[in-house]
Formats: sequence, structure tokens, C-alpha cells
Amino acid sequence: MSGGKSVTALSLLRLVPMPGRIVAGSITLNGRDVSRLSDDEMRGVRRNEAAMIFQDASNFLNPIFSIGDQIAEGIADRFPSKRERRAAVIEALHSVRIPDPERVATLYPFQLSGGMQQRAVIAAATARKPSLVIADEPTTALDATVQFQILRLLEELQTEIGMSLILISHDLAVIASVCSRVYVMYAAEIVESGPTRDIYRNPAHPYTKALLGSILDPLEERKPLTILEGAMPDLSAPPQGCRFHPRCPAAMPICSQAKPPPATISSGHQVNCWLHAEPAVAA
Amino acid sequence: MTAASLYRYVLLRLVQLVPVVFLIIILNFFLIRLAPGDPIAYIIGDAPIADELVADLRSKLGLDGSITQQLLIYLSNVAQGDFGFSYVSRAPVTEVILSRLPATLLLMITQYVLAIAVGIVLGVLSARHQGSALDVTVTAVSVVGYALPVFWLGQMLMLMFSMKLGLFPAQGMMSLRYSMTPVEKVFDIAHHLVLPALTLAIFNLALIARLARANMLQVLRLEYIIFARSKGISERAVVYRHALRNAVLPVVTVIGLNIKTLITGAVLTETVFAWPGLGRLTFDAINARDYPVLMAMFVFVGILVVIANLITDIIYAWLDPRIRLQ
Amino acid sequence: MSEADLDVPGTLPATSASSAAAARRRRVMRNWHRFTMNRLALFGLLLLAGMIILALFAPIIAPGGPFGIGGTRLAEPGARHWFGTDHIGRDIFTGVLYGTRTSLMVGLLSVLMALAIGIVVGAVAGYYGGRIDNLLMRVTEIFQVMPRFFLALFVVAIFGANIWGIVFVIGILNWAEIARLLRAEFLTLRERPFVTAARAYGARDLDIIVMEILPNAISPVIVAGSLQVASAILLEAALGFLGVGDPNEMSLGSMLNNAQQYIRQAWWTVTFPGLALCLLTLGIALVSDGLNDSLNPRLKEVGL
Repeated sequence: MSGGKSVTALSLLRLVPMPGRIVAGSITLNGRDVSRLSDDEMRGVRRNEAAMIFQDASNFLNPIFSIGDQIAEGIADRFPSKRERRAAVIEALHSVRIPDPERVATLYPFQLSGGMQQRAVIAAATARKPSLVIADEPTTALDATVQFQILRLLEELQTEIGMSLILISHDLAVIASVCSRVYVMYAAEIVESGPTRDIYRNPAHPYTKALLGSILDPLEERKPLTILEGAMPDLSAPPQGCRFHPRCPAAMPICSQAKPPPATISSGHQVNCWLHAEPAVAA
Repeated sequence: MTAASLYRYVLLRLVQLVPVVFLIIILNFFLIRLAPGDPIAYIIGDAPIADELVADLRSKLGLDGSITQQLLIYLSNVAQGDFGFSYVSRAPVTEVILSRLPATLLLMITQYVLAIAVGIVLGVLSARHQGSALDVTVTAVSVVGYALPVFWLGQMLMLMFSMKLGLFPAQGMMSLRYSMTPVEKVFDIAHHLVLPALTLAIFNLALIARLARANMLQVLRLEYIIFARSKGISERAVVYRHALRNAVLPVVTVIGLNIKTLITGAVLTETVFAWPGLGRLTFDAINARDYPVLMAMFVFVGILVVIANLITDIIYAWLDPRIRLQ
Repeated sequence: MSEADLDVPGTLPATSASSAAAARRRRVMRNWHRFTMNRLALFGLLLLAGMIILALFAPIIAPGGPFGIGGTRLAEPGARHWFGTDHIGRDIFTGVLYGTRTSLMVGLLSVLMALAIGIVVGAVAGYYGGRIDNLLMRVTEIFQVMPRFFLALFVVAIFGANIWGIVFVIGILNWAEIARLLRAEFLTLRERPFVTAARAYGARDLDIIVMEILPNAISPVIVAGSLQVASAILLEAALGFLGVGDPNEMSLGSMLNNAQQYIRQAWWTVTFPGLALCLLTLGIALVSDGLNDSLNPRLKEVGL
């Protein structure tokens, strides 16, 4: 759990383990700045508003508690009576299409398959009917068919319980199939954002272009893949100016001197790149 | 379902442990036969006994017959709980040992409760406040505690709290007063229990605190702790429900592995404080050349260790479903 | 085949002896450097070295010998008797010097013996595997479950207390742990490419075991062995304390046994021998911790 993506995901709910901490920026959820809440208020947010789904479910389930217990503890305050709580747990397992939820609730993580474990994690997250679910690479550790099922499930849950979904992924196919809006991040900064269709059809940032160029197209075997030279920068000492400039095929002198300002490509489609900066700003 | 699988597990472990006890008993038999001189000398010891009684005993134990015959007689005796007669105490060995067992159990259980409770609390606190004064102290004490000879620790505690400060009695388990109400008697025993239990607990605590700290540090960094936090449950529940129970598992294993050392420690501590348990019995048996008691103690402690291992296995299985349900 | 493929530098069969020796020297230096970085371990080493020197030169420092009666009974510590005298007027400082000597001797010799047996058994079981491994491991299991202290006590009580007997018994009781550790290492190492390569060259089993695998498997054994020295010393002291020590050798444990009756009158009889014992085992424990950190650096992170 070292990548920038995951840390971004964790920091949204202030779950970055010690000694990490949030130094700058704000996180606004339902009109409140999450980064300024007290620890207690933050727990309230996690309990009632936002939940999280992780990459490798087998590591995120406590090995010595039953699935039912791990779902139940998150909703204990809503269902003080044991019977109601149990019913809610079964309902949550049912809602993630787990067969025989009564039995699965008594099982332990090691008795479930990877796909079932991920469903259980999703059940624990959605049992509280949060308004937001943050999913960090929820399908990378799974087989292709199971991946597809989990993605469908997430989509269905979105409409069923009316939650918003933030999906953090490097899998462009997954993003294209699930998301309505995309934020492209490089070195912990947003470089481009817009409706999914616009981003995929008309990428503006050189990094986005490179990303899309790295997709294997099964129909066009001969198409050369774009390969980015160099490696991810050290985030404790990021490059000056645009963080992408050392690896950018279209870098200009200004790119290493100043951060590019946001530029609008079309309605809702924004990019942070000097190539698209308005002349007035560039001068 | 859970109860049934635990039951099956216990049975399985029991079956696995039988050969070990059997081997200890056989080894015990052959050691006496290998020792220089007539085995009968080790059975009687220094006790003055009439010749005809000795001859009687000889035929009873089959000492004139073949070694196989002797072994079979010995095994059948042991199987019936008969470890022979202590001519020093003038009582059957089994009786002598069983009469001393309660004192040792009281000492062991008290020190375990103390060492496990305090050791785990100290370990958890120092893991949660890594680098604090408490953490440094706990780490230092656990290194020194591991190196301390337990009987010397007992002697030093006795010197300090009994001789110099006069807070606790130095010797024995009860005062030599006759008229005590049952309540007074309980307090009197507890008063005598403090120093020996503390001695053993300090020794044991050092190891437990050190392990609990290390495991806690490791577990607190794992992913399922983040997941537990993401559910919005209290930090207390995260640390004490999710982390502690996982961190305690290896501690249980080590406590089980360490039971032999602890029984040794109890023997030495009982000797220091004249606590009338199995340890003191061993010490007295050595001095009085009461070999039947020594031989039986070896087997008895072997059985005790096996039972204690079984109990830790059961606790482990109870705490960890992965073991219980396999 | 490059060195990286063989994954253990310095053990390449084809490399010249001098470069292998150089690599080994480099590795030793790196471990020594790591060891000395650890201030606690260095402190332990100094403590231990000091006590070893005192013990070695005991006959020069205290020419009277440990059993010589040189003063009044239970004399307090002072200029004449630094640590006072015991219940029959023997100098306790002298006793502590000779007792430390006995402790060190028993500790080192018994562990050498445990290492000798344990390494042979562990290497054979781990290298050959199969039925012989099964048999040897059953035997070690029994030795591990055995209540060792009681066995030692029992054996010494019936066969008579003699220092060599005590060394022998402790050695016999400690080899199983060494054997198990080494076997586990051998099991993983015997499938490594550098071993397969040596086999392909037609090296004999003995050469593979001794020259190829053993040097790479020995680290945990060294750490366990060093800890065993401390536990052997404590076991010998415990036997002495229970009154079955060798009456012809001064033992810190026997001194504490004698002192038990005089705690009330003479605190020094019990304090100094115990302190010496404690410093000895503490020194060994710290050195062993340091060895563990420098030889198995992965474990350090966890704080174990």
C-alpha cells in the first residue's frame, strides 16, 4: 500500500496510518471540510456518509472475526437490537448477491473465495447506506470474470442505494465501463478532468495521451504501444513546474519553471498543461 | 458446529501427545537401570529398612527377572497411578505429589494471571506510544528480566521486601497460628503468596511484554486495521478488538512453549521461599535422596507440560478460527 | 552463469578461492559494522569481555583459590574482602571469580557439544530428507517436549554431580533446538541454484553440505547457540542452587544455595554472586540480540 493512488484514497477519509499526515489541501464532503473535523466527527463521517472498498479484500478482512461480525460492527449504532442487526447483516450480504447469506455470515474470511471476500467488503461498506463510496482498485486482485461481476454490482448499488462512487484505478477499461467523469492524476496532482467520453475521445494532456496509447487493442495487433521513458518522480521532492515535464514528449522551457494553469477544452473538460494555456497567461 | 470441531481438535491433539508421555516413562525406567549400583538402592534411598522388606520389594518389582519383565511391571504400576513408595515421607509417592500440587497450582495460576494481564497491557501501551519513556522502560526491563536468574530475583525481593522493609513474610505459605477464621486464613495465604508470585511474574512478564509489543506494532500496520477504522468504529474497538486479539496469538504460542521454563522457575522460586509445592518437594527429595519421588516428579512434570501444551493449543484454536476449522 | 543467478555471492564453485575469501571477508566486515552500530550489543560485548578476562586471570587475581578460608565468618565487604566473606570465612570476591569461570566453561563447552550434535543431525536430516529426516525429527521432537530441567536434575542426582557430567547433560538436552533450526535452513537452501550447480559439477555430498550450504545456513544457529550459552549458564546455576552442583568446582549457583540461610545476617553473600550471574547472562543476551540484528536484519524491523 505504497502507491500515490492508495494514499490519496486513504487520505480522503483520513485513514493514512502513522506517521503519515495531511499537510495541505481540503476535502469537502456534503458541504463540510473533512480535513478540519475532530477525530470523533471523522468517525461519524466514516460511519454515516462515506465508506471505502479496498484493493485486496483478503488483507482487509480481519482473519479471526466472522464475516457477519465484521459487517455488524459498522452498523451497531443504527441497530442496537441484536436481532435487527443480524437481519441488516443478512440484508447487506443479500444486496451484494452473496448466495446463502445466513451461512456466509457465520464464515471466516479464509473460508471464502477472493470474489466472495470482495463482496463481503462491499457489503460491510454499503451496509451503512453511505452517500459516497471510495473504491481503491476494487477488482485488480480478481479474475477477469469476477472483476466484471463486481463492477456490475457496484453500478447496480449506485442506483439501488443512491450512492456516489469514486473509483480509483489504473485500469482504463474498468474506468470506461463504470465512470461518468474521470480525473487523471500524475504524481499526486490532477492533470486533466472531464466527462469520460471526452477524455477517451479527445485527450488533451500528454500524460493522458500516453496512458491511452498504452492500451492493447485486440483488433489492431500491429499498432505500436506508447511507452513513457523514465520513472515516477520521488514525491518527497517533486520536479519544479509541471510535475510531468521530465518525461513529457512535448515539454517546453516554461514547463520546468511554473505550474501550468487550468485551461478549459470544452464544457466540463479541463486540463492543466502549458500546451493548452491561454496566450494571455502564457505571456 | 464450532463446539464440535473444537472437540475433535482436542481429541486429535490428545492422541498425538500420548507417545511423548509414554517415552518419558520408559526413559525414566531405563535411567534408573543405567545408574551405577543396584536399582533397589535408588528405590529405597537412605531409608533404614529391614532386609526381608527389601527382599519383598525386590520380588514385587520383579528385579530378579528379566529387564522386559521389570519394564512391564513398572508400566502397569504407572498406568494404575502407582509410582512406588517414598520411604523418606513414609507415604505412596502419588499421594505425596498430589498433596503438594495445590500449592504449586495456586502459585502458577496467580503469577500467570499477573504476568499475562500486566505484560499484555504494558506491551500494548508501549506499542501505541512507541519511543515514549514507558516504551523505553518496558523494552529495557524486558531485556534485563530475560537475563535474570529467577531464584536470585526471588532472593533479592526477599532481601528487600521481607528483610529490610518487613512488608511480606519470607518463608512458607501460612503463619504458624492455630486460631484463624477462614477469611483470615485466605488473607494470610495471599500475604505469603505475594513475593513468590511476584518473582515468577516478573520473570514471565518480561517475555510477554516484549512479545506483545512487537506483535502489536506489526498488527497495527496491517490492512484490516485500516478497514476496521474505515467503518467508523471507535479507536478503542480498533485497538482492543481487532488488533489485540490478533497480536495475542503468537503470545499464546510462546506461553505454551515456555511452560517448561516456568515450571523450572517455580521449582527454584518455591525453594527460595519455602513454598510447600512440587518444587520444594523436589528440592527436599534431592537432599533426602528420595529417588522414587524424583523419578515420579520427572514423569509428572512431563505429563503436566503435555497438559499445559494442550491447554494452550485449545486456547489458540479458540482464538483463531483458521486453526479450529481446518 | 552470472553471480546473481546463484544468488549467494562468494560461493560460486568456479570462482577462485581468493575472491571467495574476499567476499566472505567483506560480509564479515559488514556484519561487524552492523553489530557495532548497535550500542547495546557493544555494551554487552564489553561487559562479557571484561568478565571473561577476570575469569581467565582468576588464579592470578586471587591466588588463594576459591575454597581457601581467609578470614572471619560472614565478614562485611571492606578493603580486605571486597565482597565480604561467606559462612565459613571464604572470600566471596574470589568465589565469584572462580564461579564465573565455571559458569563460562559449562556454558561454552555444553553449547559446543550441542552445536556439534545439532549441526550434524540438522544437516543430515535437512539435506537428505525423506525417511532419515522423519526419523531424526521424531527424536528431536521428543527431546524438545521433555522437561529438560527435571531430566538434568534427575540424571545428576543419580549419576553423581561432576562438572563434566553436567556439561554432558546440558549439551545432550540442547542439541535438538539447533538441529531443528539448521534442518529448516537446509530444506530451503538445498533447492537453490548454487547447490544444484555444485551438484552438477559433481561435488560430493559432504563438500556441498560443508562448503556450500552450511556457511549460508549458519546465521540463525549462531544466534540460537549464543542464547543457549546463557540458558546453559542459568541451568548450571540452578542445579548448583538446588544443591547438585559439583562440590569440587566453585559455582555461582552453589554460592547462592549456601547464602540462602544467611540472607538475614549477610546480604552480601547473596547479592554479589547473583549479580555476577546476572551480568554474565545479560552480556550474553545483549550480544545475542546484536548478532540477531546484524545477521538477520529482516527481523529487526518488527522489533523482535
